[in-house]
Amino acid sequence: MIKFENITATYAEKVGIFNLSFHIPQGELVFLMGPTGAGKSTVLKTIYRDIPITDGILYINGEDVGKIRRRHIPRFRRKIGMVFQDYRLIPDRTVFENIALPLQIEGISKKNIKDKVRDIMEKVGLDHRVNNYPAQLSGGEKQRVSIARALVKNPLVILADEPTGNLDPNVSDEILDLLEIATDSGAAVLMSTHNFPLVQPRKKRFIELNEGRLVTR
Amino acid sequence: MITKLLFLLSESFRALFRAKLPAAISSITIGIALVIFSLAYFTYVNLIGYSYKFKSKYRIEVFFQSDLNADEARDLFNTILISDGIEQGEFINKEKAAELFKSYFHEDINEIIGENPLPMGGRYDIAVDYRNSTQMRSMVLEIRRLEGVDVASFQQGVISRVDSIVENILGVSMVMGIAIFIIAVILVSNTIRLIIHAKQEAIETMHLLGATNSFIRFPFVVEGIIQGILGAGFSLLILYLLRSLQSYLLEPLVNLPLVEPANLIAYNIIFGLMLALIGSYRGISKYLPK
Repeated sequence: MIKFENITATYAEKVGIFNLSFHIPQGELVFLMGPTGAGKSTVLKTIYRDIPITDGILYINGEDVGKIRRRHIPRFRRKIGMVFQDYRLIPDRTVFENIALPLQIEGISKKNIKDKVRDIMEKVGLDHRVNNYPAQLSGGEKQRVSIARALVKNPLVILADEPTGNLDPNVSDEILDLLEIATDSGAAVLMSTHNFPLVQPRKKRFIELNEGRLVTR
Repeated sequence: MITKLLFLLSESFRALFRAKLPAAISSITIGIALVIFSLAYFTYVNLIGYSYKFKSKYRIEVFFQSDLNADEARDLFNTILISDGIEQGEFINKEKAAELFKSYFHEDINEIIGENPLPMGGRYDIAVDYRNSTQMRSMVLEIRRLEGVDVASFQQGVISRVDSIVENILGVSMVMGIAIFIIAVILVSNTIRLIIHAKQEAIETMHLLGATNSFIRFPFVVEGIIQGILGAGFSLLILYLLRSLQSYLLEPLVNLPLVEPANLIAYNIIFGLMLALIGSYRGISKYLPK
């Protein structure tokens, strides 16, 4: 599903990721580990084409990401679910509206949106928060909304950039549970974190980076 | 597609409702600009109307040499009548000249000096395109060259003065109009920029979720259109109040030829939309380049 073949993507001469190769198949949750500045976010940004690939080939579901034209990037991003450390919820929209946004971008009918959003809200345990605004939620609830927004469109790939960075251990575990559940529908999940004790008990594969280079695959 | 369109339309109204203050400032800015435009247009139309009315009285007067007989004078009158720039004319024979003398001086020339020494001549009205001092001067020079013409003249001083006043007013109005238009566009685009800047993070998130630039841009454009219409409404309301005030205060004293209300409504809406769309486009293009 996600395949890096000798990928190099740099911001400056010695900043970025260098010659990375790894593969994440369908339905697998993989942790991207490493200290701050190791290049974890750069890996994710390369996948959703926020930064250009300098060298190598990156495939997502068989599609060469480097060859996607600029104007087709929005369509490509619709196949990816993203979860961020700072949630990136839109403050003037309710929980329902935040989760519905990716479907509205795709132009799905109102009735379908309603059904899908209700369904996913139930799955992530937010059915009692439909009309609340992000400011009325706890950190854990905000991250649930963010995950629900990523899952609602049944993406092929889910990228989670330090999703537990702002959360306490119990809530972090719940978030990891949700991401693990996402693999059941066949999505490849790549989650970056520097919290090894949190992910260790999950017995999942992890990719370790340091200074933009692969340490463990 | 229709679902998306309906969603974007509802987003536009929602955004407008949420950013009430900037939207109100933007609409009022457009409204004020339109009021000034309308007043400038009103002044222009009235000025043109007055100057047209005044210029329709422009005339060239020609006096023929006194040794011409009636037939020769009539031929000469007709020769001038078919010249370029002459709209119509009136032949002044000796009797008519005496009548005119009497109407000006309340005296009968025949009684004063026992005969009528007044020359025959003609009074010529000028075609619309020739009603300016430059054209009329050259027409007079042409007429003076004709054999049998003694004097040909027009009110050069007055006409030159009127021409220069009209030109100056039109020039100043045009410069003012352009300046107001530019200022209004800058104000509207800055307001839209402020709205977009406040939503910068939300816009970035929408990009990450796969929204295209046009998807993000559309509500701002619709917002601009609504602001333009609201601005036009505001302007028409002010103009209606000014019109009522003018009817109450000035109409008993001055009779102003008024602009058709239908035209004014149409111009306000068209200019309001133009201002809003140009302003929105400028505002959007800074943050959401194509």
